[in-house]
Amino acid sequence: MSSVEKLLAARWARRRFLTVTGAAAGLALATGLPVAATPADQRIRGYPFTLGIASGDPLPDGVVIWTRLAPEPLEPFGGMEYGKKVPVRWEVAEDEAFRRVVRRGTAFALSEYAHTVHVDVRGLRPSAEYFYRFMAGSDISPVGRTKTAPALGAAISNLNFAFVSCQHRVVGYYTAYQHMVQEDLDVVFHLGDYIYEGGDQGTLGRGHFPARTLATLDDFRLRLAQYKTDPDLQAAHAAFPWIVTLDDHEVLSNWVSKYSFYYPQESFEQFLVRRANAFRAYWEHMPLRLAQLPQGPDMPLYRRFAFGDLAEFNVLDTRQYRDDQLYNDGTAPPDALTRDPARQMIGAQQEQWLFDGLRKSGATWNVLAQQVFFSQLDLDPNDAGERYVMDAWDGYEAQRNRIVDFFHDRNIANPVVLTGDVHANNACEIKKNFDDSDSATVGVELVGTSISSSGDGADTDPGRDALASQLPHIKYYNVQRGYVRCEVTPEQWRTDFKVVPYVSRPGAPIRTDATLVTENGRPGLELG
Amino acid sequence: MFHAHMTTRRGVAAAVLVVAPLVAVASSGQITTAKAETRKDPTVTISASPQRLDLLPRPCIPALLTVGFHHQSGQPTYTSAFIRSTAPVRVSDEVVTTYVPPDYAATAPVEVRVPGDTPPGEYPIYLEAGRERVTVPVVVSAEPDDPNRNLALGQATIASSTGGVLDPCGAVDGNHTYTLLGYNRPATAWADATPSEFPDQVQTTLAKPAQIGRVDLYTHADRRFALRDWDVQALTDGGWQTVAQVRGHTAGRYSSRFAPVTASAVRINMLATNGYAYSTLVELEIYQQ
Repeated sequence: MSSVEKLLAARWARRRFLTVTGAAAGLALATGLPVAATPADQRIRGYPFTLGIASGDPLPDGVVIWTRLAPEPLEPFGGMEYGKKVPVRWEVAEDEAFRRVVRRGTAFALSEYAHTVHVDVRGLRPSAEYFYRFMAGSDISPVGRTKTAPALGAAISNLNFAFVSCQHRVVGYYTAYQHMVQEDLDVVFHLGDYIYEGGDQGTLGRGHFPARTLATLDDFRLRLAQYKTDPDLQAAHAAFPWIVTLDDHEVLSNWVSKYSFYYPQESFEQFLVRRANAFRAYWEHMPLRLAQLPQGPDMPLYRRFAFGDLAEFNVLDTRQYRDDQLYNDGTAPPDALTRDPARQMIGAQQEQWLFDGLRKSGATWNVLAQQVFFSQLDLDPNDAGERYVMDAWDGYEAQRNRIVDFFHDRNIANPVVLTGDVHANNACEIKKNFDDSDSATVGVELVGTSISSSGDGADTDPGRDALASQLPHIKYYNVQRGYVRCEVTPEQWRTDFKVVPYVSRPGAPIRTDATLVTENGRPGLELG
Repeated sequence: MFHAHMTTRRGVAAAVLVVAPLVAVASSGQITTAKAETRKDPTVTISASPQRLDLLPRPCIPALLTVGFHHQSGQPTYTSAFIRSTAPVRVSDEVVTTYVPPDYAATAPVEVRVPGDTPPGEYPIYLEAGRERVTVPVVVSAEPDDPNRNLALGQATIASSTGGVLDPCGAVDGNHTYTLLGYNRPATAWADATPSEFPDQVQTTLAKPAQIGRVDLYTHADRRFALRDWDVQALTDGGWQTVAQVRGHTAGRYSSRFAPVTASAVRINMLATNGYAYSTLVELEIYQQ
């Protein structure tokens, strides 16, 4: 436990910091209008690339590269002048030394977008590794490595990727990322809860800034910037292209559609302003294309990625188009309401988009990259009755069953569902009928644990032990922190659940807790 | 059809195989959008609620100033309002930026804090967004001259650690209930964030050094969550000294009386509970006698 004196010192440091900020804001006020950009003045006070670089959404011919100019990342506007427009040069090369630059250009960093830069670099070769960097004034960013997707429909022999979720910085270090960057990966999927919205401080010295629940655009920008100051997270972005989707904590715990966690105290109108602020800041800080730019509270985030003829990923959005959770967002037995065919987890339009994509897919493996627990999870398996989590797919059973039936009836090749949210590793067989253990297995669900959320975790959990032993479709579970590595070939999908024994202090080693294998054409999970 | 270029087959046609525009799609889109947002015409007006603040120098009981953003045209936008306070009065934000929808007002809460040693007077707060300017008069009065006054009320309070939905200021807010942080509602109590680890500490700094002879501590009203053992410590010219020790307390209030000392701060050093993993404090009161 740290002493009160130490905390007092920290408060004083914060106070000084606020004083500096006040001076900057005062300058803008004195002129009567925001300080206008002077084209000739390209100077930036301090090193601007404090939040690193990133790449994402790889296509066969291109990838998005990202950075932000933020010499003072925890100040309003990142320490940049309000209204200032700064040219940022960028380069993409085939080699890390930038001897063979294949694309270069200039993008403008604008204060309206928190001086973030998103360049949709095109004209690249498929399945190729590239290196990228940015230059602003006399400063050069760190170098990132990225990789394009394979040519469309190309026969490829393997795809290596990882998926991660839930990185509450207050409760743990991002040690898992230190280990993940050692892997040879084509891409990383982040399935949501990239930030957390509360004002909690915790006990690790990784407390949230600002120290309150996020509401304004400045709040969300500051929090995303704070998360992105983490060196392990920066290294993970620098090492691989990421494909991201969000869950609830990027906005507010367990929000859906226009329903706030605080509904009805927070009205639909008020919540949609919060959501618009959250989405804007999220887009600004992620390597996303302009196609994903939110229009107010609406962000077109669900999208599809193909890796040759091997795998096609349907990246879902399970928050924006969802009906409100039933039974006060708690747990409940199934009834006519939870089974109502009209209930929507992803919305009718996204469901149609998903089915259209699956129908047209020629891929060996067809993947749903999404947030919440997909398979049935009866919390009272011993009792005659059942009890389900209303925030998970069990609370939207009819739509889940339509997807499962579609997998089965349309003979969709090797369905795989990737899940985050629950801060636990699980491997489940998706049953045609979850209530009948003899029914056909139509696909598999791989649930990845958190990077840090929930803290250290444990190798065994007696409660879940008992639960899983009653649920034959759950083949594996673990409640430690880490990431999931997948090695996909035309013959099999191999999944390594990588865990660290602790996150409450840095430096944990990594180990593979379990390896599960699914053979092409044989849905199910075998210990590898 | 924002997904079209992501799909496998249509992507072939869309693929750019020559070096085309080097400033990519994203940049050109940003510039277009930015023009609309930096127009000189004031399309958004701002307001402050309340329009005037009458405050006491109690930094741990911040006043809430709600900045309203009102649309004057049909175009949704993002707008920044800059906020400047008059020292030593402080505001939680120097700028608030928010989405402003076309059809209803957006609001942003700003906390206003008055340090305990602030002299009575006027300390205006200035809001500015584009050409819009709003001044909020802030009138600070002196604490009542009452020898029986609770000297801790609203004074600066910090803790060794704090649970996620609690607040050290909740221990000096004049509220004797254990209520967690809620929607636009501060926590009215404090608990630590280090389960089963002791000691835990809460410290209140007085507005100015004063003679004190009694400390009333309100822990949880339910014994299961109540503090049992703690020391009351005062910061005097001679450093920290323990002025009272409490052992075997069960629930609710305990009043410690001690030989008066002149102190600038009071610290509660919490040693044990009646079984609960966390130390809880719903109110701390400090009196002259």
